[in-house]
Amino acid sequence: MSVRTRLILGSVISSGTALVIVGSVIASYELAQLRRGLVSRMSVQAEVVGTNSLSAILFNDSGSAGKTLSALEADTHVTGVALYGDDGQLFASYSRDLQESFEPVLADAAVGHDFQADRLLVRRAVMFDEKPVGTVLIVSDLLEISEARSRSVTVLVVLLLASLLVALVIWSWLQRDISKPLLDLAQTAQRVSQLKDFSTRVPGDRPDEIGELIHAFNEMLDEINIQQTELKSAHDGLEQRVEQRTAQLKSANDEIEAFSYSVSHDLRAPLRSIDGFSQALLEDYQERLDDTGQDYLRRIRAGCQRMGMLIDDLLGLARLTRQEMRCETVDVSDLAAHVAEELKSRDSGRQVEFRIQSGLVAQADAALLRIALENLLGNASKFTRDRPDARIEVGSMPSDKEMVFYVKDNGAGFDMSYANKLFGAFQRLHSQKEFEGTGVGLATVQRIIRRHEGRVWAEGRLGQGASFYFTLQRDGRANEEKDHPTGGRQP
Amino acid sequence: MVTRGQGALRTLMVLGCLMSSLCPAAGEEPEGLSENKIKAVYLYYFATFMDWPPGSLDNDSHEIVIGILGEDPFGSILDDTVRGKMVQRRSLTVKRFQSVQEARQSQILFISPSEQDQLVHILKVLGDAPVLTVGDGRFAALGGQIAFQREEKRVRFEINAEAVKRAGLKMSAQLLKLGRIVGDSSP
Repeated sequence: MSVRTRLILGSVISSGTALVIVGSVIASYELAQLRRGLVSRMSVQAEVVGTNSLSAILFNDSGSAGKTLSALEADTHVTGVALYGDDGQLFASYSRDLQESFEPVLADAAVGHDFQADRLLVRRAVMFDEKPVGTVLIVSDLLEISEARSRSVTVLVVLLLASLLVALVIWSWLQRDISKPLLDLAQTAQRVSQLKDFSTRVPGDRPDEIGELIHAFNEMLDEINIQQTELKSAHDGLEQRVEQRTAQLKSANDEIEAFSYSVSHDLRAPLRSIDGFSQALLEDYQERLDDTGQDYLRRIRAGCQRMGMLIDDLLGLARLTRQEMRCETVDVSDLAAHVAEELKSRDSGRQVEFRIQSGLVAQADAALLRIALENLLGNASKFTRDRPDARIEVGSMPSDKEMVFYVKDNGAGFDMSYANKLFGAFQRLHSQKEFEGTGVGLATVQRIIRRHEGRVWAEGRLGQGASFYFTLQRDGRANEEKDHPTGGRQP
Repeated sequence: MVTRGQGALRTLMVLGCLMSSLCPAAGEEPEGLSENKIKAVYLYYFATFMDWPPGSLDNDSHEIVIGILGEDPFGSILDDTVRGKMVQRRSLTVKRFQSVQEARQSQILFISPSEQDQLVHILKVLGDAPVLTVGDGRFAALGGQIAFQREEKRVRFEINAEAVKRAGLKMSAQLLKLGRIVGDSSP
């Protein structure tokens, strides 16, 4: 129900109730007055009839008494009048159109009046020599009262309707003063919330509560406006700073990569000369060196070769982050099978069981994914070397958002407390004697998967095998346009 | 306005009074009041509906005299009826007269049927004296003022309004309307 309707309804109800109450009180007072008036009028009639009938009673002349009584014919409300003697016997009576039939003996001789359902009885004593010699009984209908009652009810109803109409008119005129600005306010509020136009203001300057409301509303809009401006400037500043930082980060990253690339590249030349001259020493001065000297030189060469491998791996790692990515739908099962074949042919003396789930598909750069799988399967192959029943599984686990792949082996495993060190470059959990390697493999895997916006983690127990998990996009969201060749992006 | 309680009480008291004063003794005439008793009461009532000229009333004795001329048919009934009664603040007294001259001093004079023969003479002697003359039978037609008439068991009366007027008396309309009005010349 709108405010307007409520206001009008409230006023109509209140004024209507007041009118009904006042009207009922006045009507009932008027009715009581009418009854009193009727009683007093009938009492006077009875008195007159009594006085005029006195001689007739005294001289026992009921005919004359009847004539006296019938004089009341003039009063149209009198339906009957009776005269009883002092012995209570009916002496004479008059009845309008035979409406009344009087009892032959007066049952109640007491003077006074008696309102019955539709008539009024008035009894008066006829006095002679200060003694009652008879009783006059007048019966009057109550038409006078009922007519007055229906008249006053009609007047009340008409008055009620008329004043309600007037109240309605006055109130619908008055309420405009209250509800109109409220409606304007509501409309403005709606417009503001829909169009987000906080520059709108509600017009109107009033000295009352509605004026205060409008003022408060406008102030609130001002406040919102100010806050919005502040928020926008803060947001813009933040954006700018993010861009700045990103640019700084990118240049720092580029610098580091360029640095490590050039360092690795430049390290090769002196290494080559150390290795080369060590070889020359071994070949050209073999006879002058004793066995210990030759052994030292061989160790120098082994060190040089190992350092060369490290530099190669480092360069490879650096290249990974610089290489451009081309994402496409890749048959992971097929890729894993190729890598497994290669491993088998390289180490034909071993008996390794590869279990590769078929139908594995993902969105990825095929070349990079191949490098990742080479590292993971290579690791698995390496760490199952001591087991006669070596088994390597490649598969995927059900997941809603992304594809989760795993490479599981039953090899040497690792201590879970070192799990966070596994993916760091040059981090190794085993000695070079136990298992050879540079410690770059898992770092490479991590870098490749991260470039695909995926995650890598591992589970394992010492001596009970290891599981490596990585995720890839299911729907090819890791596409080229999103991918910057910056590398090292955290998901 | 008279309340119910007072009214009822008053009615009872009055009924008692009426019983003692108006009603005949038990067993006397069971069917109603005797004719003489009724006439006696009527004589009293006549007094209440009459006005005498101011000078005609005796201001010393403060009484209204009801006279009986001739043989008294009432015995003590009339005396008993008017005993203690007041009319116009005067007490009622019953006096018996043998001569018309004496009877002139009464205010109401009942002329006994025994004086039937002297009637014309009596009325002549009374002349215009302010006396309400009451008689029986054709009394009013003969120049008397009120005449009792026996009708079945009721007692009614004739009024010779002209005679009343001649005597200088005023009779209440209430009384006039009850009586049958006759004139001197009525047969």
